[in-house]
Amino acid sequence: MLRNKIFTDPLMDNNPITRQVLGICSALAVTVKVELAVVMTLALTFVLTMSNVIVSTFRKQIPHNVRIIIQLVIISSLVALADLVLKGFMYSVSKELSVFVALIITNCIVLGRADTFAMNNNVKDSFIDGFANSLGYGIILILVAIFREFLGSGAIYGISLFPESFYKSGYIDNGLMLLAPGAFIILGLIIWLQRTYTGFVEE
Amino acid sequence: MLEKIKSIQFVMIVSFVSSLLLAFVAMSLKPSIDKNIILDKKQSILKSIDIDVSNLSNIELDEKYDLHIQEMVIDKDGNLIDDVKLSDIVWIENKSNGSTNYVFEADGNTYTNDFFPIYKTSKPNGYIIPISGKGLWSTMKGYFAVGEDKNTTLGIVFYEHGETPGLGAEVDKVWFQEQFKINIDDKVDKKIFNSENELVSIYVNKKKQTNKKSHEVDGITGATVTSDGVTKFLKRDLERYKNFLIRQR
Repeated sequence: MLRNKIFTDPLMDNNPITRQVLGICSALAVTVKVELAVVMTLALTFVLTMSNVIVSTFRKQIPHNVRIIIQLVIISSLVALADLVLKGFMYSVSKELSVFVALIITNCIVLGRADTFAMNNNVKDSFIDGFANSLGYGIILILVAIFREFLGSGAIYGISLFPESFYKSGYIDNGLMLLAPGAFIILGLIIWLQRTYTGFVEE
Repeated sequence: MLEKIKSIQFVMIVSFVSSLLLAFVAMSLKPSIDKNIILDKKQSILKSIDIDVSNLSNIELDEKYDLHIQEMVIDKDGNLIDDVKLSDIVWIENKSNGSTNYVFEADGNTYTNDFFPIYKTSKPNGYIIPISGKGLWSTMKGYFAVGEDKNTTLGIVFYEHGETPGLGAEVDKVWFQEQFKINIDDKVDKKIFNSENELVSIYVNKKKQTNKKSHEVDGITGATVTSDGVTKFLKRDLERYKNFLIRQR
């Protein structure tokens, strides 16, 4: 596969969330605020890129019959590492993300890329693949979060966009956007838009 | 056979290396994580009396805490103890029911639950009491504030819990905690003592409208165990401070 395609594929045509519909759990849970989505994206980028690189480096040594176990050990160590670093340096954000950082371990995107791509490709390609997939995940996550925070809390990245008089004259934030159904609706609209654009139809 | 041994070898090496790495990182980050936990507790204490702490730096937070909060220690009869410092008391979680055992050691004696920590605040006037207990999945830890009359509740916060997001974790949300504040529209202020001066605490009621009841707040739909847990451990922990609060009234 061409390097370019390895990079651009996960962003659009083969996006892990909108096309493969993986990692939905976290996409619904951490998109209430843009800040959370950004931190989650960073954590996933670290885990996914590193796990791809490590798995790819040892792909010839990893015994085939225990490969999933090895991959999971690598992934969960990286996740624990990310969790510790967040606790050490961004305590309040890590508290808000609560279990969802730890749940990166069960994020299908990570294990999926490690087993299908990194096991069969060289380190450089695996690095690009891991990074591009995190980016594809992150773009959707942040996009959903922007809509949810704007409509649900009238703010973006914690900065209020509506003046107080707006609320006094009767404007009310849409509480539904803060709940999981809000994320479903936004995500559905994004998938619809994307599929209209790319012309992709599920068979 | 040889292949199997190789697989086992490989798994062991990977586990060893990753555990070594994790142990090293955990050890080196421990001081800053511990510091964050203390700061987070201070933040929760300030939040329980409705002081906005959202945009404070760590230093400002420390200053604000020192300005507003006075740490004190009382004994179980409700006397103020001057020669025991709050920082000398060790908080140990009782794993079976989630309550906190306060252990103090002096002159070779160990005192368990003879001395309790309490925080006095000057603005608004009141006392802040640490609370903890079991919800559905986890031990919930937080602070509970009562006002100048040692009766009206000023607020409640939780700084640590592992309840289900969307259900039990709602105890962390504004709508739930607002019920414990004063001067909220349509709500009577909540009180922990009844007119006979008996401690009745606050009942987290799932069924009825509780706006007009002074000893009840609305519970969380879909989180019966969490709601009941809060009811139970709030009463249990307030029991420890009952004598002190009555005496101060």
